[in-house]
Amino acid sequence: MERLLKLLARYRRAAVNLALLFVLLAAACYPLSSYLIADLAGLLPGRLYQTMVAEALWARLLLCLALSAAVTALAAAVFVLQTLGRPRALGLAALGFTLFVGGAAFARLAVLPTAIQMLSQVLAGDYALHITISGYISFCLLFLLVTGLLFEEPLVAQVLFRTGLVRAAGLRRQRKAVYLLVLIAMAVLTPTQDAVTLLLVMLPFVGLYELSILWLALLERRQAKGERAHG
Amino acid sequence: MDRDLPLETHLEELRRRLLACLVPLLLLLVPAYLATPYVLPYLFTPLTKWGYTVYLYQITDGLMLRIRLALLLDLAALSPLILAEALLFAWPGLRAKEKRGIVLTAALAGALFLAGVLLFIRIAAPRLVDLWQGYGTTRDTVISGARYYSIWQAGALVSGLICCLPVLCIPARTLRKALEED
Repeated sequence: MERLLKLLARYRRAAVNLALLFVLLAAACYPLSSYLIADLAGLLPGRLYQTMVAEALWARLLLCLALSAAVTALAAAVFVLQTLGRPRALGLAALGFTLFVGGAAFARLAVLPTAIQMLSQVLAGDYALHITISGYISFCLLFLLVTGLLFEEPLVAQVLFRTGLVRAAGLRRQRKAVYLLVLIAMAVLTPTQDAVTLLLVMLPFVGLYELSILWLALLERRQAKGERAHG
Repeated sequence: MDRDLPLETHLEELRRRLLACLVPLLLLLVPAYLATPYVLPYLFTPLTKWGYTVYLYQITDGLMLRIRLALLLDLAALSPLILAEALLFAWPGLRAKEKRGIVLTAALAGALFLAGVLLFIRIAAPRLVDLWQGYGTTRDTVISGARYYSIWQAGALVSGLICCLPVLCIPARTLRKALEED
């Protein structure tokens, strides 16, 4: 009972700390948000509009909350991994965070500019384009979030491997189908006449998939070695 | 198909019929998408005739508008096929009387639904815009293309369904009779 109470007190403390971290980070990000909005708005051919009184404020808050949530998620992951007794918890969480930031940076630099150009051209000749600031920032954040999460592929593969759902051989078998899906997704998101650009955009996803296969093969080998050692 | 066949055979047939509907749906989606820029101006005619400009407020509005309209055109064009596949799947399990009833109901409901949709497009939607325009002459009006399309689509669907209502009494009567006979 005493142990349970101690555990609950620890969780309570961690939850309060995480909530505090989230609020403080969001407040700290606020001055930065106007630069980020200006950077994202620069991708759009045209101006951003407000259709409600506090829309620009909401867009800035949304950006702060998103940035703060990403860092708080890292802290939460460290806590969960430590609680589960995982060695190298900080390293794993840092790897996950780095992959996420890498994915978001890749999306911002390589995919988002082309995707926004393409989307703003659909029907733009026939109808007036008055993009609202909150809708635009939400779309950009969602785009960055999804790409960041896609870059977590090796870690997701590891989790699925631990649960026994995925094997390296299975990933190898699905390789062609996965590449085709990535190609279609990239062709839709970044419609370009240039095959080299399309291949360059595809490259990180393909690289991460191959990395996942190698990583799982390594884990399988280690597992087999461990099983042999234990008889 | 005989009703005494095993469940697996029925599931196999269901799969085949679903594929027979899905494959043409996917294939027709591409020409339907390409046709959307020619159809959209017709839908916005009630607005443009009053000089309103149609705006796109979200970065994805243009693409989503085209995809939604393409899906609608696709479904409308292939609805006879989908209906026929559904009927053919249920056909062996129906009695002679029910077969007559269901064919009559499907034909009448389809025709009335189409009439309801056309009534909305040709008469109700322009009249509603005219009516609404009378309330906003003193203000600047900006209209979201995506929202107008959503209202237009819901209106067409509701109008079609309302026109179908009388025919839906036929299967209810047939079902009641069948239950009484049993």
